[in-house]
Amino acid sequence: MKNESDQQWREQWEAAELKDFDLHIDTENLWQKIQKPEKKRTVTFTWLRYAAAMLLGALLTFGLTQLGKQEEVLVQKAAQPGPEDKAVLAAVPATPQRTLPQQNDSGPAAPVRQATSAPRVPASNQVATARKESPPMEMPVKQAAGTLPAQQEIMQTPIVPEDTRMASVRPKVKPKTIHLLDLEKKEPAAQKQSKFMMALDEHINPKANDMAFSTKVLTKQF
Amino acid sequence: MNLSERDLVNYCKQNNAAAQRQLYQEHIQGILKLCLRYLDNKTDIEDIAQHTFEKAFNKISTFQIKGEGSLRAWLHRIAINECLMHIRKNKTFQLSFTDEEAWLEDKMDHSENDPEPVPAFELRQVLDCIRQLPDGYRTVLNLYVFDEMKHEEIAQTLGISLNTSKSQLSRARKLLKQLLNSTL
Repeated sequence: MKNESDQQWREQWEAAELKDFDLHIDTENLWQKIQKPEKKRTVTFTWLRYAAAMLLGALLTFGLTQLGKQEEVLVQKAAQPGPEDKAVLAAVPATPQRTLPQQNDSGPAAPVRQATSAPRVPASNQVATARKESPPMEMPVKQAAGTLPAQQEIMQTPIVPEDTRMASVRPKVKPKTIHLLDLEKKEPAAQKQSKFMMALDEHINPKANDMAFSTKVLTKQF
Repeated sequence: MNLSERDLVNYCKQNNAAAQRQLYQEHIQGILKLCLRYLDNKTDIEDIAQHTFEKAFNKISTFQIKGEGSLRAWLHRIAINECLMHIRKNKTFQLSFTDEEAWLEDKMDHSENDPEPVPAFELRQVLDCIRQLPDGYRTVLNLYVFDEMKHEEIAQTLGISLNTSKSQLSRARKLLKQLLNSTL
């Protein structure tokens, strides 16, 4: 059930006009706004400011990115060798590439070490290699005379194949398995010192033994 | 050109400028008065009226006339929704009392079915006092008293419970009466 005063207010409200409330609105102007909303609608300053800030931020980011790229290019250019450097590099003969026997399809399989001109493995050390190798080239007489003995020694140091060296240095030994129980058993035995060793120790460092003794006594007392 | 409501709607659906102008002239006063009850600022009132007609002209193709006065009711409903959206957007809409127990306390004081008679006041005085009410009270009072909505509709429109709507109205009446008495 509605209030009587509500009904009364509603009727009064319906009968009232805008001018009764001192509200003066230019309805014609409002109609023009409604008719042409796209043309008349203005962007508020807040939005304009926001858009400007966004644009500025985007431009700044773009500029910084471009600057970074330019710096990177300059650094790369500086790192690359110039035309003079290229000429110098071209003058240096390229080191001959060694071809592995498996990779060389055309020619016969040759050992890698043989491709080099330096003296190689002496015949006495060629136990591990099955392939027969040519004897090491002898140094020319003039060159040998001009060089120091130490240099000669270094130069004549035979280059042994890696597998041969490994075989000679580390003989294959069957790994011994040690159990934890064995270790526990061995430790007391290792700790046991012979009388001779104890006497020797006392002779070498008598104060330490005295101190150990004194501490033992003290601990027993307290 | 003075068209009937049905013809007016049909011409507006065809984007007839003259029909749109007539519709505007017939309803602008009512829409502005409605906005005046919900909003204080003159610029806001103008903006809401403008949005209401823009929306009406855009959505009139979906409107189906159900008798005399249905166009007015439809336009007023759009205006009410626009006002509520504006109030919500500006975060000024706060229900003063949201607890339903407050309504039960009010029921103890006086029943809605047995309202105390309010002395006769000029509409201008009533409107001034209504505009002094907190947003929650004012909205519920406007919807219930002037826009003739039921509590169920108010609760659905504002997203509040039925008892909260009743509580708001009860407290709004109390406060309005106090304000009106203070003007004497």
